[in-house]
Amino acid sequence: MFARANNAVRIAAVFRPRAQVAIAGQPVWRACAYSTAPASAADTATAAKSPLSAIQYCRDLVRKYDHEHYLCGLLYPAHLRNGYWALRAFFIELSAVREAVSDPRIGQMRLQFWRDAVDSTFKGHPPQHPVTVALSQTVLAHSTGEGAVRPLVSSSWMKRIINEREKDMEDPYHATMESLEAYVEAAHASAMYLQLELLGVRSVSADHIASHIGKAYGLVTLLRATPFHASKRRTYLPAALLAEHGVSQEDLFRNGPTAEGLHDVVYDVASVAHRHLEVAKDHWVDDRHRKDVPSHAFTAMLAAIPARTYLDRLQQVHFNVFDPKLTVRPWKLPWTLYMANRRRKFS
Amino acid sequence: MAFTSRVIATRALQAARFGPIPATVRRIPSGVLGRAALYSTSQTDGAKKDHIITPPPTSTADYRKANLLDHLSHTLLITEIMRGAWVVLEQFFRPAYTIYYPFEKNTLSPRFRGEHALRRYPTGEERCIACKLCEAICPAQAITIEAEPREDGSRRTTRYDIDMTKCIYCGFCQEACPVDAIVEGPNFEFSTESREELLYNKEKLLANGDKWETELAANIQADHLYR
Repeated sequence: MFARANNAVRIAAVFRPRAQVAIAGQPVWRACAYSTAPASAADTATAAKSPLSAIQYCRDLVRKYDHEHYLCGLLYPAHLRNGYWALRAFFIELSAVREAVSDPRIGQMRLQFWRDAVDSTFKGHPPQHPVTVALSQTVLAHSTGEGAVRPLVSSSWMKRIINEREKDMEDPYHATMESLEAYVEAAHASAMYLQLELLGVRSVSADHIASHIGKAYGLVTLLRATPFHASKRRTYLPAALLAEHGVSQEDLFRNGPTAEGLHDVVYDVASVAHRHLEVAKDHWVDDRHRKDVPSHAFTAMLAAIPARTYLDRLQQVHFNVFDPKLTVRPWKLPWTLYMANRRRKFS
Repeated sequence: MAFTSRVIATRALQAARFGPIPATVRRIPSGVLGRAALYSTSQTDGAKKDHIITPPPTSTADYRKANLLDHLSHTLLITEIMRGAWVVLEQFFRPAYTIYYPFEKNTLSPRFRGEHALRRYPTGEERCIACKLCEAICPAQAITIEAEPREDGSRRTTRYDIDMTKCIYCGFCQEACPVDAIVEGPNFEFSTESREELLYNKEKLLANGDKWETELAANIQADHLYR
């Protein structure tokens, strides 16, 4: 059933008149064959059998690890969708580093690789990583018509995500809600600024709305990951909130859902996320706050919909983040996303 | 003597925790020795009443004094032997714990760190881009890499050697690799006849990767974004 709903979105996205716009003479998909020089005759044979491009690799990565953003990406304009996959895959690669390493130093080495990779990609020599190749083929390869190539997005946001992830390598400790919000703003909202830039929207008011949605989505991601982090003896929940409700970290790690007062902490964090979504919603319909933001910028902010869906479901299970019901994918999400994007309205 | 004092100490501890134990719920000792002890405490003598446990009997004469019928029935029916035999019989009908090793293998954790392999992309292109992070992190300095650009400008290794006799299987190379190229697979059966065979080169590592790709890909899968 879910697969069918998924297809409906994709078909719907294809049949939208606006989505059919593609840059003439650019069959982006096939042009991006990743394999440039197979090492041997055997490699050539394999490569011919499976023409997997760097962009396909990125799309599969997003589909597998970040299904909500995969659904959002399907609603992107067709000619920018590949760039979206590349950006989200870049984000996934960075956020997966911490779980892949046992020692923060090794993680810092990997992030240094990514920092160098971003630099060399913007200079036109991407390392042969599918994500950097896909980035250089999509968001960096848009020619201005006079032979010059102007990148669609700026590297500073990418660097900002890397820097924030690097700080996050050590065990997380956030004393206050403000500190946690600053972290999710740098880590998650920066990705939303990149998505806005990809759509060609560069305005302060758009970035402001996106920052609220990025924060809300980041908080939702951390709430959703609380059981996982607790199993690793980590938590992102602010220490001040835990103290206020009398929850000790040890209690959370050992007793999980039965920890006394945990629901109140989760409720507080969820309320902050909810408030951010409300602010974004108000600003979107208020002309004073939405100067020179075109309506198609909405597509970059679609992450608000899954965030709201999660918060609603969290409320239904009485703010118990450990409830197994929350791990089930909401089957209505593709349709909700499609309708929201069509109406250009948050909820 | 030591035994007695330990039991009494335990009793004292219990009494401190739960208050004095009423005489009716005092633990009834089991077994021949215990039963003998129980009988011996059932005297009405005021001086001996407070002794919960008397020292174990030292000769068979004491057993006979305790309960001759009991003792004789245990001896005649060899009940201890029969109980032991029953345990053996139960095990006989259970599946064997041992496995026939070369033909059967035990389960391995997905994080098991065995023989190294270099992976490829599904296109057939090798993953390694010669960033040398594995070489830098290797605490045993078992990895040697040389690299140069290919004709198409992409940077690849010309030499990728691992000295398997130096490797300590810490898995740092796998963790440091930004492209998931070098991995430690589930294979632990790679003993060789000579030492030279354990000096792996790039061809051997890539061949390992091709051989084990299905297992490697399955083991690498994480399942979610958590940050």
